[in-house]
Amino acid sequence: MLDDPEEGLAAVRRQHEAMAARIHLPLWYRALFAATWAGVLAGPLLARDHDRFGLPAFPYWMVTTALLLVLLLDYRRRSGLHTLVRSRTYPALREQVVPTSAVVLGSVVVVWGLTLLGLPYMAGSCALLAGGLASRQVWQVNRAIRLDVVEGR
Amino acid sequence: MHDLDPTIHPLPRLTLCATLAAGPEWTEFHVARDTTGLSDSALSKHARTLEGVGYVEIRKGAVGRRPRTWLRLTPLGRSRFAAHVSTLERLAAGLRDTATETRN
Repeated sequence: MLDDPEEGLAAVRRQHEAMAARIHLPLWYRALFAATWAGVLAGPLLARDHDRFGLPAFPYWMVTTALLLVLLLDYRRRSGLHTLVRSRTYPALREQVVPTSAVVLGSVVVVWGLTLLGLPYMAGSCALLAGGLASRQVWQVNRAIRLDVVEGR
Repeated sequence: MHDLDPTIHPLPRLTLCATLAAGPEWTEFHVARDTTGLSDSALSKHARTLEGVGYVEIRKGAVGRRPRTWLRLTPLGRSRFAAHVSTLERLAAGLRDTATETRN
């Protein structure tokens, strides 16, 4: 039995920190996510203009989309969202809905819009930039969830 | 009188509840074991005790061919754990105030 309430509170804090420490995105994951998201965005462009970029014909969009699904499934585990039935609603997830939607929808509209307008180099550059932004956003969400866990929210 | 829950109060169970409260909806048995530092048998025993009073739900299943066990705090367990931690915070604050008054 615990006699000192401080001891109990310290144990609770330790567990929060131990659970939070499990939630992290390694650098390789973030780099791969950036490249994959850029690939998904640039897929339609590469299907049409791969010669222009000196690349071979390849189902870029299909492969990068499949890889993105694998990464998103892995992200659930790495972000403490891995569950049997449903995810826990961390407060951080609600806070990050707007920036995450802005990054995803914004990059799709810009890159695919430029592709449709026939501006392949601009679309390619924006796809790379969007990959970096998306990677930063998944890291932000991950960091916010970790903070929720540490704070016991 | 204080509202410390006698079922949650022993350190291993408090630790387990803190782990489950901080984790996702369902936490895998091995994750709970690794973060609490309890042995398999101790974790099972305390989880069953908490399950007996309706604070924890235990689910068994498999991932591929490997058997897995998941644990989660029930809504009752979550509210009792939150109340328990609030009481601990209140008691700790009270003890700190008493110590300050004694020094003065």
